Amino acid sequence: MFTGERDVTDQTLAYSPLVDAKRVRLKRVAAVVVALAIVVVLPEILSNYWLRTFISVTALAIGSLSVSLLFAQLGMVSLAQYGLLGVGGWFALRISHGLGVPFELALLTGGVVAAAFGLVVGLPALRMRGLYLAIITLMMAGAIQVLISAFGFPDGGAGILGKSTGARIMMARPQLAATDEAYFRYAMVVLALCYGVVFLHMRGRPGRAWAMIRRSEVCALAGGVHIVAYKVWAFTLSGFLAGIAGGLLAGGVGQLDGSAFPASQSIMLFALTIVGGAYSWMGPIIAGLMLRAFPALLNDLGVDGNIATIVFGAGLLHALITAPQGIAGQLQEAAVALRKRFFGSSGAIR
Amino acid sequence: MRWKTALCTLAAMSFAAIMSGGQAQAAENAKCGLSNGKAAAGDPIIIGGIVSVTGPDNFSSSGLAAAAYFKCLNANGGINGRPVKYLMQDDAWNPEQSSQLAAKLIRDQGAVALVGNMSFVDCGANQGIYEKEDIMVIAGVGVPRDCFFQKNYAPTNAGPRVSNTKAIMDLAATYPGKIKRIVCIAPNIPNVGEWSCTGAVSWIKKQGGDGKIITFDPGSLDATSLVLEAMAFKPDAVSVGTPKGMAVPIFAAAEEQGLADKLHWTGPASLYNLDFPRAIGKYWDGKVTVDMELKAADANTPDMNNWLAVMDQYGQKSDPRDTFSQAGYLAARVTAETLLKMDPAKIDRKSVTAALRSVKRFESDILCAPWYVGDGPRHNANHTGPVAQVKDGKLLPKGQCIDAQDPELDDVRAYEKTIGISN
Repeated sequence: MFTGERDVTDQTLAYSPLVDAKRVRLKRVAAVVVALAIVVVLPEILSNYWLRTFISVTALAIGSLSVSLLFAQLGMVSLAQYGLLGVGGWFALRISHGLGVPFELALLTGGVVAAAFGLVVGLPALRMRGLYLAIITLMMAGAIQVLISAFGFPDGGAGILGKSTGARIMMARPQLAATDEAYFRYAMVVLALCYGVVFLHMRGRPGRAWAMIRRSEVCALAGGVHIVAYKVWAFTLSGFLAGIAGGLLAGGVGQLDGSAFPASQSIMLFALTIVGGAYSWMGPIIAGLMLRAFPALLNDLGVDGNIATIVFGAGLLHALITAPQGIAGQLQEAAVALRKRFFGSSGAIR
Repeated sequence: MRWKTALCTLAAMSFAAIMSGGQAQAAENAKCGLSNGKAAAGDPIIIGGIVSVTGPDNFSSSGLAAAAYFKCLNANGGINGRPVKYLMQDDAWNPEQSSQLAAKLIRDQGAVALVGNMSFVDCGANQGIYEKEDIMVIAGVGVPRDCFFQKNYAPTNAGPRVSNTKAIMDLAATYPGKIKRIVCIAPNIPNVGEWSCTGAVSWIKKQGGDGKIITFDPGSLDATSLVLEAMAFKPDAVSVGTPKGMAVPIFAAAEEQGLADKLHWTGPASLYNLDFPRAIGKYWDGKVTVDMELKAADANTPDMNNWLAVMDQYGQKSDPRDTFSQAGYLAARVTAETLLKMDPAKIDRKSVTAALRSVKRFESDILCAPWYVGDGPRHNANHTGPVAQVKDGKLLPKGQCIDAQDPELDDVRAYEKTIGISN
């Protein structure tokens, strides 16, 4: 039963049983092998429809990672993250069209500018938490929506807004990833890099500081943690990840549409991050799959894709009532149960 | 979400939403393709279509009409014996989904062309893949600017910019020398709003007049402020380039100020809706004109009646009989007639694209002027159409067709000269 903050905030400070180092190494090697197999094999077997769907899934997984970073590490709710995707996409497009820079540079620019926006979004977090912070960030998502609605996305024109008066120019993809197959692999590598950045933070000083802040800001202060700096850094990093996701989306389609970044999508992104499992590395990937692959599956089967929203609502209720660790937590529990069933109570291979 | 709803209603900006309706009688038997009454049973030819069914509004009647026409075609010999397998997909107003569907239709299903497309997001989202795969899209309804600036996208409609320009030109012709300053009001939707007014303003400036564009957030419409802002420019005419739902409060605000007799009021095809005269009230009787992009459904001409017959015999009862539908019918008809001239054994994407680009003159009594595809860098072949007037609670066509003199169409006209469409 989900009983509140205690259950969900002590993840990183929880006691971890000692495990066999060899087994951990084996698991890591297995994980890398599986990831490489996915990167190499998946694009070869997917149809073009699913290939494009999975490009979006990958970008949205990074967006969800930006949400889970704040929620799982700091206990902070940001409902502006999808708007930050739009910010990252806007600047990536503008830089790409305006200066013709390589895709990587456009992507990084989008990330950096979204990080700056993320910092601004995070400023209220220095003084407030919970519902109030959620409302403030949602208002910021609304403000971003208004700006994007008013100005649209750059499409190759001149001037600050980059609006074309003739034909729309598509954002150039990376030279090595011009095809959908290659771009999907490219997006997977970017996703892995984003995970790497987050894991490095979690295992280093920022991760320890965030864990203390989450448990008690007073304790963290007493422990010499610079609360303002670490909070601001978390929001900045989260904004950076969202911006990268927006740039990847822009590269996938070649452009972005002004109607695609409403504030409501930020709520959806947050909700599905919770349903997917904000405390597990699997959660953002599951959230990305739910956001893009599930509606695509329904469409492919000829079922109204909007039904997905109803399923998501039920999933969120389920997660809040019975599965605070989300689908990822349930999968992990199921894996443990299976291991116990087949390999004994310790779960060790006999 | 509110502006998305507005966006959907703005669909009507490129077309009349409901034709003066249904009075026209369907012809006895629908005529399609070979019209031999024999069902086609050969190897199917795949043709796709992207429309928006789910989302803020059902924006699909062009695709439904194309589907009905191809059904009729298949029941009448198909493409020289080969049936058309028409795959209509729903992009749900979502650019990502639209892009996925384009990949599915073109690369996975092997469509030779896309026909009857009708979407706000398709043109922008799929420009890249259409060009890369060199597939022609004979769209039914194009609304954003992107739909009229692509080599591979040829809509049968005129678009909101041409429509606004014609509306102002008609006023200027009706009141010679009286229309010198105009105001065009539009929602600030990217690639639609301001662009849709620029043609009318450019035209009036070319005539020595002046114009002003007022854009507003459709999510927070303040009609009185808009009217006052427009009046501050001291205009001779105002074009209300909004969906009908937003236009009604603007006309109400103008009525409160008693402005109907002080200046002239008009609007693009987005206001061409059966309910519009009733919605704005008797005060505006004979005082508002509305542009049309295609002729009225009750024209009782052969092709108009054939469209109605196709819809009655091969469409669903619930399928709309509106100008979106007319546009989809025209798109399917021109495609089918082009394919019929080809060797059925040699129909593939490359040959179909080349054949469609070679369409230099397509005529129908639904259109005011010949339509074409051609091999130009962009397509806006429909720029001539009638204008209607609000009279006795109805929208009555004024008769003559008007050719939009939008400076943006200069390159289109230059191309038309090379293929002999205009002199």
